[in-house]
Amino acid sequence: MSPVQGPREDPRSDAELVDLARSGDRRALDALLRRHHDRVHLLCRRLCRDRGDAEDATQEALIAIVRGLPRYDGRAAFTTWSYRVTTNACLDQLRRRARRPMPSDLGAGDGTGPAPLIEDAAARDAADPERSALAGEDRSQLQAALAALPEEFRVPVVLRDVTDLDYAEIGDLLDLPPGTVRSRISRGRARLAASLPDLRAGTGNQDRRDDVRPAGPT
Amino acid sequence: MSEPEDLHEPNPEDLELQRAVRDLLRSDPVEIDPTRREAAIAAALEAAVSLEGPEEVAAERTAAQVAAHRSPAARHRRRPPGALQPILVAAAAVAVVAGGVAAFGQLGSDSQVDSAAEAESAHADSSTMSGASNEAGTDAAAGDDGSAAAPTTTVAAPSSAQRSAPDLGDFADVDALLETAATTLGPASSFDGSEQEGLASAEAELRDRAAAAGLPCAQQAGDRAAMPVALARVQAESVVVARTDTGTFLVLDAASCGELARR
Repeated sequence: MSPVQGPREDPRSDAELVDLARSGDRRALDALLRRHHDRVHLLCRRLCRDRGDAEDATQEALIAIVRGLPRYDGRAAFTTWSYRVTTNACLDQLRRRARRPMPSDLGAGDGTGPAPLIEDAAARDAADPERSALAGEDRSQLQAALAALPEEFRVPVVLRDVTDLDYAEIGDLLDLPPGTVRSRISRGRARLAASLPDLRAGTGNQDRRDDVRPAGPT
Repeated sequence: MSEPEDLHEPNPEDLELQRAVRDLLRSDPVEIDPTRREAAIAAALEAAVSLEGPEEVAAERTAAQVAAHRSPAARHRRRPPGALQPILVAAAAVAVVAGGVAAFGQLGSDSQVDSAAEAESAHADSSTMSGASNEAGTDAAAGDDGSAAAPTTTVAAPSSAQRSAPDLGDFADVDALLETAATTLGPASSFDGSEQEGLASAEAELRDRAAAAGLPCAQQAGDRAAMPVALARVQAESVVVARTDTGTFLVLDAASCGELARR
């Protein structure tokens, strides 16, 4: 595992790369995917509780972006559009996850009761840091707090604060009225703040490194 | 929606919290496995290559590539041990399903003929990279009425005026449903359409007809290069079974049209 390498700089704009990729230029497509991979992965990591799920969702998102390029009309910035595609890939992953417990979860416990699902991963890791380390999780305080946040709050907060989508766009993605989106974001932030005592002091994660600094939509 | 809506303007403390959360979410480091990064990009590039080739070969290549790049844990998760078998799939129901599938065969043929002319022109636009966006979330409402009407256990004899969707019955989990779908619906679905010129237009026509026949999530299935072919229920929740050109079956949640599983 290594920190994220910075994307290879390509002087061409997203719009130029998209046009070239659509016309069959593989190098342009490669450059476009490399430019946006880390941003896509960051969103997936924030939305999914589990790093493996996030990696799978990232791959699905990149494939969906490639397949959707012919239908990208350029009205929204490519970054914004790719965030929406990525969100759908992550929501698909979350739905699959909700339906399928981890094999390790199936084998967990004493067999006398229902096995815990991944939803309990944060609690398990908190109780057993060594297990988390062995599993290779890069779970920071933030990731632990996000993982403990119910999906109904986590997803709107992440979409608003990572992707800058507005309430209406988030509502469209989640099939919720904008007022409900706003309410959930507000409550979700409050819950995050409650579980991250340093948040209001502005210190956040004490183990912060500057590996990834996603830019906002362009 | 009974949930209270928070429409008031945020107070200064909320704005401070908003900034803090936003800064943290954007700056907290996320480590990336370079191997997975390259694999994900390679899979996406491979998908682009696949879209340029013959439809069936291309889709198979993409599916194989995606599976090859998926994490070992995910591959394992997709086939959890001890998968339960269906609660009940009556032989009569299977027979009825077969009848329904045959009906869709007729349906598909009709649409392909109907749309042949416009399909030819549409094909020209997608010669380099055709495909579908995953940006389907906003269409979730399209499944609402269809899913509400979905839970039926019998299939009416189709006619040109009114066609009913095949219903595979009730299942304990998606694996059992996928197993039954593969057995009863088989690889040669009537929604193939891959031999036709102007595939995009023909598929759009098929989706319209599938929706008219009571199968929701046509658009979302289309976004995944698949066609809805049957209804079912998993743990009493309505789902839609869709099938790709290469015989991969997808299970979509009938209400949200999100993908639950595929095989």
